[in-house]
Amino acid sequence: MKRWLGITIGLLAAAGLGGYIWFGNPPSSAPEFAELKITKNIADLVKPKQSDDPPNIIILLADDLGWADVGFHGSDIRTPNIDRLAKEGMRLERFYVMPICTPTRSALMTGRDPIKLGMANAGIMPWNDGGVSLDEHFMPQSFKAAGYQTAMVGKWHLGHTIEQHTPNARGFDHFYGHLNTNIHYFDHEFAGGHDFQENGKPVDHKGEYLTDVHGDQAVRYLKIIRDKERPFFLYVPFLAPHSPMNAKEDDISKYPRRIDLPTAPKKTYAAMVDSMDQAVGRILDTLDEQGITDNTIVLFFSDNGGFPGFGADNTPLRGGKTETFEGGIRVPTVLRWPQVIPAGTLNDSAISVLDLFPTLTRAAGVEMANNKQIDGVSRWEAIVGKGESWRGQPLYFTTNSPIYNRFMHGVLDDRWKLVQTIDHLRRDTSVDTMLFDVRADPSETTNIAEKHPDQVKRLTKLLDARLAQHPVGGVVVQLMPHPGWRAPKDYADAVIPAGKIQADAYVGYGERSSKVLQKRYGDKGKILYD
Amino acid sequence: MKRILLVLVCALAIGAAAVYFYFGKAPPSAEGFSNDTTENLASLVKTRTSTEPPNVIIILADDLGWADVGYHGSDIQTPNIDRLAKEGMRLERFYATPICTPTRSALMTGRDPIKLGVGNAVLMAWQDGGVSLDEKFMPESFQEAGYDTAMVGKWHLGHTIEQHLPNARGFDHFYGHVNTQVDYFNHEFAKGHDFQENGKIVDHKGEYATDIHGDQSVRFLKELRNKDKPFFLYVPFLAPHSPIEAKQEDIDKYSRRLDTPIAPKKTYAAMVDNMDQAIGRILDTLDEQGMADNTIVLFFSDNGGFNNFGADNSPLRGGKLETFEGGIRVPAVMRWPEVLPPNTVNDAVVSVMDLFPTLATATGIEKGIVKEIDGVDRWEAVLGKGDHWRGKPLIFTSNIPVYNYFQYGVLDGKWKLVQTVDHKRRETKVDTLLFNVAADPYEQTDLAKKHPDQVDRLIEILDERLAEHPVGGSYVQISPHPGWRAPKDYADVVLPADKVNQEPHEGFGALASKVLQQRYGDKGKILYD
Repeated sequence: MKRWLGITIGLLAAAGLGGYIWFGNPPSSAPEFAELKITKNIADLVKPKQSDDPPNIIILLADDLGWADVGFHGSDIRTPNIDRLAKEGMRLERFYVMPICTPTRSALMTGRDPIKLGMANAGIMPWNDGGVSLDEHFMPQSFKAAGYQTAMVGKWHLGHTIEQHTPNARGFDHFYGHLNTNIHYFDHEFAGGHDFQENGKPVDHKGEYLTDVHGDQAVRYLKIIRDKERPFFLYVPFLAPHSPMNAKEDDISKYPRRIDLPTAPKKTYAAMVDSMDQAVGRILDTLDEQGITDNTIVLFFSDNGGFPGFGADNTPLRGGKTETFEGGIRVPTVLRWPQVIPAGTLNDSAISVLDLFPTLTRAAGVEMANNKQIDGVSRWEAIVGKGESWRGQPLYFTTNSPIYNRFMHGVLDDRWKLVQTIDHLRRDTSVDTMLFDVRADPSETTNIAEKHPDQVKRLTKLLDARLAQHPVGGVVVQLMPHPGWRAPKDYADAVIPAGKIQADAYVGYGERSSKVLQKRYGDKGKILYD
Repeated sequence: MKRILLVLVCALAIGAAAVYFYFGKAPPSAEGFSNDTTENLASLVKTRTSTEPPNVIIILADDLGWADVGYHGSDIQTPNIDRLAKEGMRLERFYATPICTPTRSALMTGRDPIKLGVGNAVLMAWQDGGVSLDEKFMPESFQEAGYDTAMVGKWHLGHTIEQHLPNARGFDHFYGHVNTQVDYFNHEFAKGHDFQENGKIVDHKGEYATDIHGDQSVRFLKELRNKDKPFFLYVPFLAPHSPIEAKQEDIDKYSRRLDTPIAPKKTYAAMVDNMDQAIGRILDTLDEQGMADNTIVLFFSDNGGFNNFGADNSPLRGGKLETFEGGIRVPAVMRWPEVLPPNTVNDAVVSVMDLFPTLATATGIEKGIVKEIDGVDRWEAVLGKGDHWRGKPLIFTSNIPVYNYFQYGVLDGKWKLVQTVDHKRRETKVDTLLFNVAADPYEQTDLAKKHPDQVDRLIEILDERLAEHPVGGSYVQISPHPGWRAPKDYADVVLPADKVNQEPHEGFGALASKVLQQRYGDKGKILYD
């Protein structure tokens, strides 16, 4: 009986899907953006800055947004405000992030390769005691040191166990949001633990839609909280459109031609993106109202590619979130700064999320107060049309999500791209290696590994040198908690106060023994962290 | 210059070692102890004279070597452990697991630690881990049967939330440490202080931890316990686990031993000696209180000794972290004068997992366990009436010390598989050995090529068990992530029970979990049982 029910549901779903594909394929809402027409003469169009005031900075980060899920890439999802940014600013069409949340966020904040931070393999889950080393310098700290006021509204995902890891301790004067990922949009809980706070104190918005609250709080910051005499650095990492797939009915009803399937809730997904775009709109309107649009850099991008299982669409790119194909790492990105950046332009210079710290500080004339060597390079020259199209140094991508001991790596060196999957099974290891020429074949349809073994060898060597930098205590995926884990009732309440924690890092074996151990274990891991 | 210095130091060390081996080898002191299995055990067993439930004391050494007790011929003075052997029964084929946390969870639950997700490694201070709250711990059963329960020493079964701590897992009284590797004089790990009494910090700075463990056990017996009730006392010493620190007066007793950086044998001996003194004080207290006769005292080590800390497992092969006999077959003694014949040797196979059901039968309490356990009741075998083999295979796992390196062992009757699986970046190295431990207890002759059928059979048993490891279970992490900072006091950072959800995280829900579990195969088990 149950089986028949299952088959019937399956048939109905298949029929529905067929009908959807046949009849319901929505028309592109932004045909003028459907083809990439790279602006040739950007340098000529760039404007000399009119004021001496340091620019404000707003970083809007979507979570798991697909390449094709913005109006300017042809989506039927209504994103008039993101499209407005594109019309009034510059699309960065070869902008690379990491294939998962935590690595992108740590790269954004530090400008350093997350593999070095022990943050490259997986997202920090509430049951992982993890966080970015306290020896690292975060971008808002540099802006703060330069006289900016700094604020964050949204999802952190860079450490939640001790006070030293939370946003207020890492350069943000003001924090309104969540320490973890995957928060329910109406209950604001993960695993039964409430996760919504303002500067360490729980806030209660039960029943309100999260993305609305993010928009409201960003506006509140701009209108009420900030000191209007000083420039600001505002970071707004939305939860949307990351799972859980929760949207408001009035947004869902806008997408009658989309349908929700268990394997692709495309209707709800569209509503979540739509709602995020509305929040972006309220932020942009506030800038207009306050007359600060012209001298505010607004950067919008997604932390990784979309996840098709949640309804996202990365076409024409291959793959998606948790993969090192282009669909997982090349994301929709827009930069608007009316005083300087020419409107409606397309820039195809390769830029990484690692590059944002040096690039934005350069744009704003702020000094990077980082004393560790960073992996990002300033791409400001490339943005204003005067630099090289390639960033000079290879880019590396790694993911261990979703399952234990399976890794997917990527190395991008200009046109060459290595995609390698390494799967450790019980008693052997399976390796799958692909090579693409992403300039000629941006959709990665033709594996040319056999044709260019020298390139495979070269990129593999680069990859190995990079992987050997992963500290032995770094995060690896843990899809589920250990059976004894229990969520706190409120995550804000479970953070251990700074006063109860040692200031210094644990040296473990000491410098000398660590060197010996490190040598002995080879690429099994790196005990000393730098 | 530096190199020359190094060579010189090495030469001196080698010279010293040679002198030590030539002149200094301590004579065996196993006088009066026979290694021969007692033939007629069953006929020697006494009929109990009292109907009162017996008290239970479990004394656990940490990383004690097979050959490091007097009755196995050591020069280390262990008169009190030897006294237990003379007055009780040596369990000569007692199996623990190769590492701390797995042995302790097996002891407490009677279940295979692989199923609990704690079979691979020890819980480090930087890991959010623990044994599932759905598991029943042995002291809970004793508590329910009317026993007064107490623990003095090292826990190592979860330290992040109040529900994982000893007081929440069946111990009325707890005096000790939540982590491992605590300094003996400072009582710190990673500079975080770790010494508490029932959740409250206690300050013993400067006092030797093993002394305090002895004192506090005596205090429980003399002052704290309710003398109208039987008691269950668990004393897991830190000794002789690293850090290798001892009192000078104990070190001075071992002038013929030598401390080298790779084998601090002198200090190690002093640590074992001191533990034996603490055991002596506990035994004396039982005598003083006139309850030695009706108290079951069980002594064993949580795993084999670690050679680099000065331990000696000879003639067994290997040691701590390894699935060779030296890592898992440990010195074990059981004394219960009312029942067990003195100075006997029993070679029936008993596992640490068997202790919960075995002690429950011996004391007549109800186990009260809802889940199926992997331990079997070996009380009949202890009394010389049961089968020599425990009937079910024993599985041993260790992922220590390094990431993606695993050692496995399967013991089934006389057959023993020892397999190492080492995942390199892009390949996996597998090393498989087979032994007949009945004929070759020191594992010198690999029979894998001669008996491929046995190898296949034992691997099948192993894989079935490994597939039961929950996907969120622990793996080795020898160093913390770079962002970790130790608390100033571990007792001070435990999340109180009322701040934590009672229910576990359901994650993907039952249906989706089944689908995922099927898809990922032996990569892990999402549903926990």
